[in-house]
Amino acid sequence: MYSRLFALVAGILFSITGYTQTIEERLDALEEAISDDSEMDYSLGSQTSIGGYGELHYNGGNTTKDDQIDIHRFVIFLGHDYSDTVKFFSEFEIEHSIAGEGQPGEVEMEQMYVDVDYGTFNAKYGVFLIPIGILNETHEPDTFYGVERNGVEKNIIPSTWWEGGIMLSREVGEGLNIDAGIHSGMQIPDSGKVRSGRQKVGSAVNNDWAGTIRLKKTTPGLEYAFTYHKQTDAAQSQDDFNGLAATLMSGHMDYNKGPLSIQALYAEWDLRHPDFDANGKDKQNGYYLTFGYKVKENVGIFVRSEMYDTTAGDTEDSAVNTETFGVNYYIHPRVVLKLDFQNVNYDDTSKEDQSVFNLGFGFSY
Amino acid sequence: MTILPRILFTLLVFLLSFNLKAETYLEPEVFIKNEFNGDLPKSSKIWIRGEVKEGFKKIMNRKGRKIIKYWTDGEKTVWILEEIGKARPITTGYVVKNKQITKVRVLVFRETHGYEVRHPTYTSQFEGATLESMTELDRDIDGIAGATLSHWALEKMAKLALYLDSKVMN
Repeated sequence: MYSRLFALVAGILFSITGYTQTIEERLDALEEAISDDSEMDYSLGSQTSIGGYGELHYNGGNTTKDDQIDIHRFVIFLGHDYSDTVKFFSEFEIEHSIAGEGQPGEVEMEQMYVDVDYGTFNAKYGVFLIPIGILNETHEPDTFYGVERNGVEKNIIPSTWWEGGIMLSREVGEGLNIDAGIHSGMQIPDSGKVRSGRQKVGSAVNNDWAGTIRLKKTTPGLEYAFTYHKQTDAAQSQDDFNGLAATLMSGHMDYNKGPLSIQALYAEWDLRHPDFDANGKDKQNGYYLTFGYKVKENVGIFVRSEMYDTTAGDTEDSAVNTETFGVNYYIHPRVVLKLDFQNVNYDDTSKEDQSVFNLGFGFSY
Repeated sequence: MTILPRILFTLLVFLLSFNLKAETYLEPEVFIKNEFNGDLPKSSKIWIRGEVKEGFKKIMNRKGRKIIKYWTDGEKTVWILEEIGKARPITTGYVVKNKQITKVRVLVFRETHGYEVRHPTYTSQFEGATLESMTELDRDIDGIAGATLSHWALEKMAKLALYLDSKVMN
């Protein structure tokens, strides 16, 4: 009798213990499954990513133009990782809201490349941004002060500037990078307006390729870089206008420590052509200096002084000088409201100085 | 510049001779072992629910996993965390001891830009950092130009590691 009872109790105890171990094991397994490193909880597991940015501008003040409000840009990034080492990236942009015949805007494909990581270096194949200046590669509205981009990186460095080809990048020391590429060239018109020379890789004339090399050093809070760009004939060997040897050099410093930020940039074109020698367009240069200070985590004030001259090769006064001051208010680190005032002074006395008032709203995601 | 197409072709042939290599700077398992004299201790787990879940959302500004693993010897905690910079997750190892970060190491970087955040000149800024509040470190961490989003991701993960450490080491 007692032996039967003992066997029964022992059996129950054994069963309970065994059952408890099973539950523990199952809980462990469940926790492992839930916290599994490979199981991403939101979009981490997706190989396709989306992002973008946009900006709405209001430009007013005492200028020769009407006051204006404009969806300056709406941009969609689309990327896809084929693997850890082969990645596609694209940037699709609508400028000025409405594109089409007689409309103010345009639709542009600013980037469309595959980035391949070869271990010791990376290569971009396709359409990419030229590695030059501060804004050309990074120009989301929440990353810079001022509603409008500065005039130097618009009229001298024709940002946003993209071309098609191959760009290699290699880190040769801690924070020291070299980018070197061969890519499609510009077709600068006989007016000498560099910005109009961008063909945007749209059925672009490419009798003449171009090359760009950049040396960049970055440390926490500080970046400085130098870019050299060369094209043997930036007129693309056309019958009526050719033989335009073009060289662009640019250097910049970008300092961001604590609340203080300072950006300084200089850029200069050397455009060798007899027509340009005669009208001063053989030299086109500019510089700017920006001081920014975050008075609060989400409020930054700034002042910028800039000069550019698209006919610097002659002795006539032709520089455009702009002083800007204003404020960025960050609703969120990636959503910003901007306000600034600009005084634009022309060395050419036949042009009327302007006082500009800008408002902007920008975001990126 | 007619010579350029030929250079381009030569370049392509040159590039094809290379093997592709992953961007894993250090395997997470090796990072953990290095902190425990070569041993890999059994992982501990913290459930992300209730107060901890709210803290996670405040710091990361998103929802997270139900459970996060960590490794501990009773004195320090080791965390392997992931956060997206611009488009892809950055896997980073954090070591916390006495409520201070003692080590940060970027283990896997998948973004196409901003890989400079892996350098010790950047990550060493976190050493000694503590939480001033749930969403603030006790110091400014200087970012890298052109890598702002990666910088923000590493900052957020640092705050999360300190916050979770405070929950499991109490």
